Amino acid sequence: MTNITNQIKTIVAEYTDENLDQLSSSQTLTDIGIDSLAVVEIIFDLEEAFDITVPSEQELAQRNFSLAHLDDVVHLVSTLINEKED
Amino acid sequence: MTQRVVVTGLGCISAAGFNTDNFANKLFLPEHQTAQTISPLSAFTNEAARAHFAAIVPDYDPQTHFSKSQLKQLDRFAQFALLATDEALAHAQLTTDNIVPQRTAVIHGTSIGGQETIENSYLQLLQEGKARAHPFTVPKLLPSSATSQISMKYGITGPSFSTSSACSSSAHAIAMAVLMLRSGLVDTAIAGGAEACITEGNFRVWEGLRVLSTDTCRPFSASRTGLIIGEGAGTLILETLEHALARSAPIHAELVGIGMSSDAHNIVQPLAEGAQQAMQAALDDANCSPDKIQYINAHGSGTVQNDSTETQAIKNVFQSHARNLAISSTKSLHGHVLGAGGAIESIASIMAITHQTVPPTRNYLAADPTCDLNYVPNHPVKKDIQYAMSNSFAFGGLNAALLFKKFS
Repeated sequence: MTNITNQIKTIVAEYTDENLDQLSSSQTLTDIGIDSLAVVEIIFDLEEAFDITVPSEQELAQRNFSLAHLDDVVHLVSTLINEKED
Repeated sequence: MTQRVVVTGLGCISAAGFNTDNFANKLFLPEHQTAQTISPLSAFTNEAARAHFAAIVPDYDPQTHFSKSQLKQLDRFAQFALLATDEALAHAQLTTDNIVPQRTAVIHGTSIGGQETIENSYLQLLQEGKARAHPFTVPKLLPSSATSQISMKYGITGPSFSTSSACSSSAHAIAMAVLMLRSGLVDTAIAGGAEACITEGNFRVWEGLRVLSTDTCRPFSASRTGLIIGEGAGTLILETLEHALARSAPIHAELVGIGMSSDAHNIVQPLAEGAQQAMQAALDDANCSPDKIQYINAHGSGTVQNDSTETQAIKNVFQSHARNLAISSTKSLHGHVLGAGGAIESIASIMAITHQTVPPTRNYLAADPTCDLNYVPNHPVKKDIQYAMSNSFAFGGLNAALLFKKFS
């Protein structure tokens, strides 16, 4: 898990000037300057890095996934990795 | 009264260098110092019998000009478009502080668009089994992406679009800009074109057309073997005379005539009548008699067919004055830059006026009986140039001629 979190942080860090280690759990990606276009890029990078496919926005919403916070991203990626391995 | 249109800024990048100073320098070098701008592409083929020469921008490293995140959105042709535009705006003393956004247009042409992006992404998806394309692949490959990038960088909110007419794309862009300026739609226009399509796939399909030279570009010369593809961009800042004078802008030349026509004939073979119609239209538009013209920057692609057809067309328009004209093709220096050709060659034409010197046709070996005018072979010639015409005659018979005049 820590390993995955670190990998995700490395990817997300490319799109913000903020130090992700000092991020509070209430801060959203938008708060640290990551716009919707950057989120699309981050999804691409995550798919490439973890060999996963991030579902459509609608499916994410149906399954109650969010990409608002860094923790949400970690949760989503971990779930998708587990689903892939099952 | 119709607005007069003047050129207040020039910018270019090509095999002949990173900016207009480099370009002017190479354009007017004496014969014994002719710049080596056309080189073999060993990356594509080492078979000497096949086409393997091109005019690439030398020592170009995108990372010295753009950040990593910018490069994700910029195909090579859009990078060139921005660099040429940066220079042109700086020359025209225009910045985001004094550009009037809604009274400015961006019209930037390209023949092919984001070829490097198309080719690399398709190769990865279809050949290398990559699962997905980068999300910016589409905005990067669009032929209009360079225009969008220019408008975004400088906050220009007036009419902006791209023109595409193969090798006349940027000449048509300039002609469109003139019409907008004359009509009062805008006061300033950023017009030009960009091309960067020297990729392996594209080079091979051009080879399939059997028009690529197997040695170098020798326009109008005996034993010419075809065209040499180049890459780069050219941008002109055009303004109404009134607007330019009001802000004391530097004026390089006046753009007095535009002519456009179509051959309605053949997708690759040129027709003299179409070229004539475009040149005549530019003269008529400027209300200028043929004998006033001193210099023609010819389309002069270096193919057997184009150069003899263009020669015939010039003779038909200029009649007895044709023999007094200085004619040259600077494609022998910067290659055939397709969608950027009209803009880069307009810059060469304006430089001919400002330097009062005709840039030569390089690599010229000997006279061809079907091309029997003065092509200013190999060595620049001093000449009183009041009017210079720039010709662009594209595949598919899409023609444009632009007429520049020394500003007074």
